[in-house]
Amino acid sequence: MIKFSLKNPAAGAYLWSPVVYIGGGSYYPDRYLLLTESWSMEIANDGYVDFRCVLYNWDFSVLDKRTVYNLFVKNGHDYEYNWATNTVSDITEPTIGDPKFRNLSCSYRRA
Amino acid sequence: MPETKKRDIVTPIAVTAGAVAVGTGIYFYMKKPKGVDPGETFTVQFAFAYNGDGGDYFLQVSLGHVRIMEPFFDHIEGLTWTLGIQLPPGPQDWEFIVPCKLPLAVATKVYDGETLIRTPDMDWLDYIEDTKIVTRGAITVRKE
Repeated sequence: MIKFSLKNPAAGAYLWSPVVYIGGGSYYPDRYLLLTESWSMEIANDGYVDFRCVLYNWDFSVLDKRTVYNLFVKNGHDYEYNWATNTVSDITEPTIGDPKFRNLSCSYRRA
Repeated sequence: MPETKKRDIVTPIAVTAGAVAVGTGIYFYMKKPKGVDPGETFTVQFAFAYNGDGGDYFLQVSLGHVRIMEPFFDHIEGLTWTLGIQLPPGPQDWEFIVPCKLPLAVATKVYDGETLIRTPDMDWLDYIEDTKIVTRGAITVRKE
């Protein structure tokens, strides 16, 4: 699971059917790192939006905690391949790593 | 008449016999192919430091295969095991053993392993961040 905190959401309220890509430092998602499944959410026209984005089977170790990642959200109302320019939000603090568990190691043995 | 020394032959024989027994054991142990037979149990030891507020968790082990080009793990039906644990508030170091009994019908080959920690209300594919470990070639299921 990864949790994003979105700021400056798109002006105006839309019902979104977004697909989410994550990329580091690039405005356009041409070098995306992952693709989530589609879901719907309402984005208000002001304030912050918090939502949980559950990504299955994703190896979070490829994400660097020090890197600021950008979240690209495709507007379901737009043309399929037209990335809505007003939908880019920053991932302010990606929640990577749970401090509750540290130094996990697992070893397999024949019983 | 000089006193004759009695030779102790029991000790050398016992030592030799013991060495032969140990050697035979090592020979047969080495001869036995590495791995686990179908129907047998292997274990996975989880070791971690916990600093949470306490709660219920699942330690989960899955056998499957890591895709070569992608960081995804293909699970196999019937090859996932979980152990429910209850942790008191930390900090504290813990070790748990998860027993994993293989089905008799499991295919004989090398499997990759996926271990993770999740809460009971999380989907079985979901996991607490930084608690998933994928091990290539974790278990070899050998022919009986």
